[in-house]
Amino acid sequence: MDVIAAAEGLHSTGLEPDAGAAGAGAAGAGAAGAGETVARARARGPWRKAWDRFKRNRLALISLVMCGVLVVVAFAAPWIAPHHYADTDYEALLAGAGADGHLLGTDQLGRDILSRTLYGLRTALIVAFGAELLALLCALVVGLAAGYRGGRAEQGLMAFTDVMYAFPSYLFAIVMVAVLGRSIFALIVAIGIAGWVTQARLVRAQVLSIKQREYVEAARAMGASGPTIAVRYILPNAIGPMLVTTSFAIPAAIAAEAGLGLLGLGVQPPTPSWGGMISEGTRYLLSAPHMLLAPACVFALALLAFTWFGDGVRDAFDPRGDRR
Amino acid sequence: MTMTQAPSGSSSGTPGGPLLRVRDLHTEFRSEDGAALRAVDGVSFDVEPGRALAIVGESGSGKSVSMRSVLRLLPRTGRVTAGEVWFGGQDLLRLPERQMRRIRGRDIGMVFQNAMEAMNPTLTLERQLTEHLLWHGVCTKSEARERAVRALGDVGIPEPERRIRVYPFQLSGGMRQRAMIAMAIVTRPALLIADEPTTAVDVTIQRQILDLLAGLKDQGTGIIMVTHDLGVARYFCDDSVVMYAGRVVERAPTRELLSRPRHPYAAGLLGSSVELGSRDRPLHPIPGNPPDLASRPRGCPFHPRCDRAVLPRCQDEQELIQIGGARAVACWSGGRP
Repeated sequence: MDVIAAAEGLHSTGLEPDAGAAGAGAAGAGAAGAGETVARARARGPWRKAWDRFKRNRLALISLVMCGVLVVVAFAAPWIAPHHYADTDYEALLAGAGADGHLLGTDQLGRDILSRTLYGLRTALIVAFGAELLALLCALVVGLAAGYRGGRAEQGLMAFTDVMYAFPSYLFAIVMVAVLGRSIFALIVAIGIAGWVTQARLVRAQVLSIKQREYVEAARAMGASGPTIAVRYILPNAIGPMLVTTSFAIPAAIAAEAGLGLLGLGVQPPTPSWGGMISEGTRYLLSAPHMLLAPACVFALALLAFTWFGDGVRDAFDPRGDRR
Repeated sequence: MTMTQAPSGSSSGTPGGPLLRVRDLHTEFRSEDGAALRAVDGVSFDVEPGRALAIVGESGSGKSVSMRSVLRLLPRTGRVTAGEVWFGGQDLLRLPERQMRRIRGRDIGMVFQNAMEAMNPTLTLERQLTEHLLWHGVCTKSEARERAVRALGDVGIPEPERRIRVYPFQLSGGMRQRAMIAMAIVTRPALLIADEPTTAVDVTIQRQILDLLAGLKDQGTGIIMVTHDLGVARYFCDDSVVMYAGRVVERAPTRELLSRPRHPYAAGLLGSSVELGSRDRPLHPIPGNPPDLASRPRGCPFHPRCDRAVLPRCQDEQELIQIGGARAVACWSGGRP
């Protein structure tokens, strides 16, 4: 029965015909056995198999739990944070960790560091997910259009991405924030627009290779229209690698948000962002190191969790994953 | 095997005439340096309903390109430069793309060589078999499912009700090839184009697939079988067209072609066939290689390899000459042995 699990999924179907053949051959052998195999096989679409592989990867599962906790905490920040992020406690300026009512101390304005760190997580995740979703959508649309239509449209779109690619993405993000103002929306647009170019090129490369596959020609021979082929035949076969790059791009986007905050281009204060907190913390590094340490540690933890998660996703979609 | 498929017929086929009539088809490819390569050079043939036509030739002889020209599925670099393709009372080459799309898959089905590659790995058989029924508005969704199950049963896939839910990679090679055929026949096309449907499968499955296609033929479907295997042609094709370097060099009922090939190339093809060559004599491979399309020999494209070539006569263009009955040969000698 393991043969079926070993049969290839999303991207390697052409590489491993024997495994699938053996599996189905076994299924065809006996009537009783066949039903069972087919029933088992039914659930094993490409997505299901990716999930199966993901489940078997311990680090990936741990990272999934960590990311889950981070996301829940981010959304629950208004309820679990002991104070509002902008509440100032003038009785306790620059209080150290463990001070009365302030578990991780306060900053130079007497604002609770723990609360600000939690709200900072919220900012970071909203910006990172929003930006990467935007980047993924732009990349899919542009990459699909360029790769599928080919010709002039492709040349134009790819020339455009080349120009975008040549532009330093940080500089671009800085310009975007300067133009759009310092809001969460501006950050999402800035980081998303700066990041979609690489993805679009990847989508295009995927589309170009999938377009040559015989099943795309077969779909045309069955009377499929261009958009149908792009959406039903090319997109589903290109999306796996895109999810992988997107999951790797999320920690990068978290870092970018912090980086912009560090440069003073993050969200409008007093809304907390880790970059802003770290930037403020450096000024009191010797007298109140907790101001820097708390956000920096959670920042590092979040990067680690999402990077591991990206690793897990990559391995799950790796067609060779089962053969280790 | 019970066949419940019957060609729709109503939407295609001129009464009494051939189902498909291809006349003087020319297809060119533009190479990197802008030169035009003539891949198909004046090909004509007819397909009758309920009959099978074999298009035989080596790789690169233009047989697949001819089929793709008929369906207008050429890659961007290819272009049909002249000719007519009459099907259902209209010239397919002059139809707008939108109408052409309605003919593909609905009235003309196509079976590909490599079923593994020709099925979308992310769709279950149900989706693959029903999608084009729905695109073409042939029937409702639930009817489509029923028809898909029936088609899978017709092509001899056991337990079609269950199998319809699996993905292509969960099927064996032979099953996949049959599922591919089911995809092509689920719309009950009047014409089925099979591009080397048996090349990628082993011999026992070849036989099953040919029997399946023969069943369809008996139901009235016209079939074009593109193949380089004369054994396949002999097995069930009524007529054969031999192609060489983008041209038809001989056209004949398959039986007559195989017993007495007239064109030297057809004879050479037969003589180099393991299965069909006489057992008493050694194989006779054709010397040389098929010509490069960019530097095609003048006149008969086969003459540099032909052991009966007479210069300069063979350097003149060779038209297909009718040589009695349904036979025609493109050789000035009339292919006298």
